[in-house]
Amino acid sequence: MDEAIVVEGLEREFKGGIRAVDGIDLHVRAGEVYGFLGPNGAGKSTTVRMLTTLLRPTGGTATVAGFDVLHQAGDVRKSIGVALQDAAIDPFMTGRELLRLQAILHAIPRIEGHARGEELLERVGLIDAADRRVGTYSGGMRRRLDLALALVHEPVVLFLDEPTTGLDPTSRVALWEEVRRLNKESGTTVFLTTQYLEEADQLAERVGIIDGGKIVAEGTPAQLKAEIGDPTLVITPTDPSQLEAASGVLRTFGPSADTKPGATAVRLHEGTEGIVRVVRALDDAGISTAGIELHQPSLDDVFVERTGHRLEGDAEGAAGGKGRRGRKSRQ
Amino acid sequence: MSSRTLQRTVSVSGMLAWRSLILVRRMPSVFIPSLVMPLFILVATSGAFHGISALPIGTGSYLAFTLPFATVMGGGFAGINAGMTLARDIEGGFVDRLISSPAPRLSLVAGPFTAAAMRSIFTTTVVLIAGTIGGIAPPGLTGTLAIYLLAAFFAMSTACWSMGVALRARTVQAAPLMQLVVFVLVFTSVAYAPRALQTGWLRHVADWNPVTHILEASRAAEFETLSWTLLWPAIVSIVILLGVLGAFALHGLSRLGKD
Repeated sequence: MDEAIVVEGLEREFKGGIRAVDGIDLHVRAGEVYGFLGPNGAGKSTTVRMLTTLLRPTGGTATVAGFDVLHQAGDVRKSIGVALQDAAIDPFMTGRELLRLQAILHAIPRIEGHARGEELLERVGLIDAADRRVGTYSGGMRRRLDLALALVHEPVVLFLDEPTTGLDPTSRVALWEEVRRLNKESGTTVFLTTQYLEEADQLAERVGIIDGGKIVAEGTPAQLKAEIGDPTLVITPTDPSQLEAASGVLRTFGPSADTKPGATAVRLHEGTEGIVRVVRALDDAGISTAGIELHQPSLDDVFVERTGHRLEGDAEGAAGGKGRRGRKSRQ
Repeated sequence: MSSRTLQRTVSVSGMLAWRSLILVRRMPSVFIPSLVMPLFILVATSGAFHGISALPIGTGSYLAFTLPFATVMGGGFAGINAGMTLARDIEGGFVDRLISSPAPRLSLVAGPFTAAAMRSIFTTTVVLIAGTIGGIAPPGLTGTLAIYLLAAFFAMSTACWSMGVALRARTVQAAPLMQLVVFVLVFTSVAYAPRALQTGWLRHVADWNPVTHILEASRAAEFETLSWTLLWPAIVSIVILLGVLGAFALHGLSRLGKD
């Protein structure tokens, strides 16, 4: 099986004519971590629900682990692990009980299921909390338990629907590590939806960007960023009255770029090597600088370029100290 | 259904029934009202309608007359509880976990269905103990078994109804609808007075109401006068209720993921 997920012209139209997913095509290779990036309401969760047999497509075809989601739904369910958005875990059950339930759902023999459950509890660091009710778990613990539940039957394809939404940065990084380890050690294909750019950038080998139910870009993060081109240099003059003069200097190095108030920016055709020449030119023009920032193209830029707007969720994540790294908003 | 699928259905249903039962202990706020209400029915109606025992109701004690009403209503509450739990699981996303697994979908309703019957056994026991404390001589083994079974079958019927509602509404806000139909069905039967004392439209409704036959058989079991003449209408009523409401629940189950 070269391709773990093959989607062609997949559609989902709800009552009232709302097309949540509008004819998307996806090809996810076996053993790959695929990031499915998009804002709230873009169609990510609807796509995952169709691929995990929870929702019937209204058009197109999809196969997961070689099985058709519509006509071989039972085989698809045997092959997949699912950790849905908001970790749908019964708060009145303990972690160990839920793992036992999950093992029974997947027809794993009792002794084997118990051993697998203990192994997974150890792996996700919940062995000490295994007999506590899930309602007492933190958000990060619930997500880790959700991941463990999705892995009980050693699935071929793992679906993670916004696995780190609402988590603190430490829990988020811990979950990323676990996903990486899982993919590396067992070769599990991971289909990950997220509204966090950094998450897609950090985890995914390839990224599909969805907006308004359509795929607007697809490729490796490096490929997508390369399509945007040059890095952006942002200069903040010490004296605000020199802003116009500074802009004039920068324009000799490339086209202007949007930036924050009180600063001016340029897309550097020469790449990072051009920074020294810019600084010299500003010095020669008698312009002193309070700040110099270099921004490499990010997935955010790709998103803006392809959709004309920014990812709301990522902005929220960044505001809460949980978002992307090393790049300031330029709204 | 193949034997393997049947085995899987039993296994998963058993696990889900066990889950429903442990929630009784861990979430008593949901279970206690369904236990208190039958006791309240027993105490309140026997007090309020005490004078009716002077009429020909088949016994000199209204408490004895109302005891099967309390056991059957206890079964009704256990069934309603099954629907409310399922609605909560749908809203909370727990049902998604079940239906994204290869477990037979039938177990999604078979588990709570079994749990409802088991809960009704507990409620019936409490009501019978309360009745004994109130001075009602407990029936013999056959009579007691019949009272338990009739309450349990009514619990399973109401579980099918409330789960059918839950699978369509997919919100716990549908709980009043689950309760309303069960209450109307019980209150328009012979819950408060035997058919001989009912007149007009209420009598006609009671004649056709399946709960009437279940209650009459349960009363006869209590008074150890249960005969085939009273038992077969109860069996037919249960078969009809389980058939119709079971189909209602299963149709709702088949709609999951299609809307």
